[in-house]
Amino acid sequence: MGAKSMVSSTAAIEADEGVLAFDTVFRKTAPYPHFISPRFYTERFAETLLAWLELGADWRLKETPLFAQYELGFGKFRHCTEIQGLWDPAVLARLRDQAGRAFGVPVSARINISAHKLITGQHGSIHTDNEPGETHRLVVQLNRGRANDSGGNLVLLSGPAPADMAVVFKQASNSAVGFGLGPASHHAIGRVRTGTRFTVIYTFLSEAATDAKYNYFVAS
Amino acid sequence: MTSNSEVLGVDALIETDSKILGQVQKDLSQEYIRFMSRLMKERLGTQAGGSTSAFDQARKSVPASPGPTKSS
Repeated sequence: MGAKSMVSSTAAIEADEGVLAFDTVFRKTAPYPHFISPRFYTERFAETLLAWLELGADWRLKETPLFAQYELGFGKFRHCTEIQGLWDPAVLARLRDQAGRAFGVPVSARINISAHKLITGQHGSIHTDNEPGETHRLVVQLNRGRANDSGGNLVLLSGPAPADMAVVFKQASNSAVGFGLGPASHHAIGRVRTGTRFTVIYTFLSEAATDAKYNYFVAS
Repeated sequence: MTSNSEVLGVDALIETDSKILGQVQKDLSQEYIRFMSRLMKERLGTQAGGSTSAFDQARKSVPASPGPTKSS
């Protein structure tokens, strides 16, 4: 092994240790299998990423009859060195491994990373995200403290109707929720009442996901 | 930013306040009704005019659900 690869390896380890925490996971089964992690990133990286989302990001408004939100895909921001740990291959390898253990099944090394910003009045109605190219979703909340009544809660449901509401997550910053995607993965985002809701979304892809549709990253 | 240096327990991550839960469910219901009303109107409009609606475009993204992609 040459000196160059040793340096690269050391840098990769440092990047890994400086980005992800993701050391505690609570697994739940209802309304469908999911997990909650109370501390996903390191404190320092969470702050760096939140500051970038607040100030540096180029958001695109997306509105449909079902949801209204600002979006971005990190695949277009590979030049932003301050947050490059987000897609560092070693970081993604650890994420893939730990997420696989948390989900109870191996997940792909091909990972799409995006972010959403919802401002007052925006929401996401009940849907499943049941797409052939996507197997699992992991949602990380980042904020500077959101009151319990500020709206924008991630909700899991046992069916397609509001009466099927099963779990409402608080918006603790740096907490994460993971779940498998399929015909039963009903979820929603409550209407934001005050402030801004930021989330980072990791989507683990399947073989059906094409390079034309997804600008994904790859774990090492 | 809220510090999670002391790792939160699962109870701190799931909403249990009945007032908040009621508000969330009310909001979901309003969006659901709004969406279904729009769906009905667009279906009637499509039957009359045969145009492709915004709903149809959203629907194509996720055929097995009432929703499009990635709004988590």
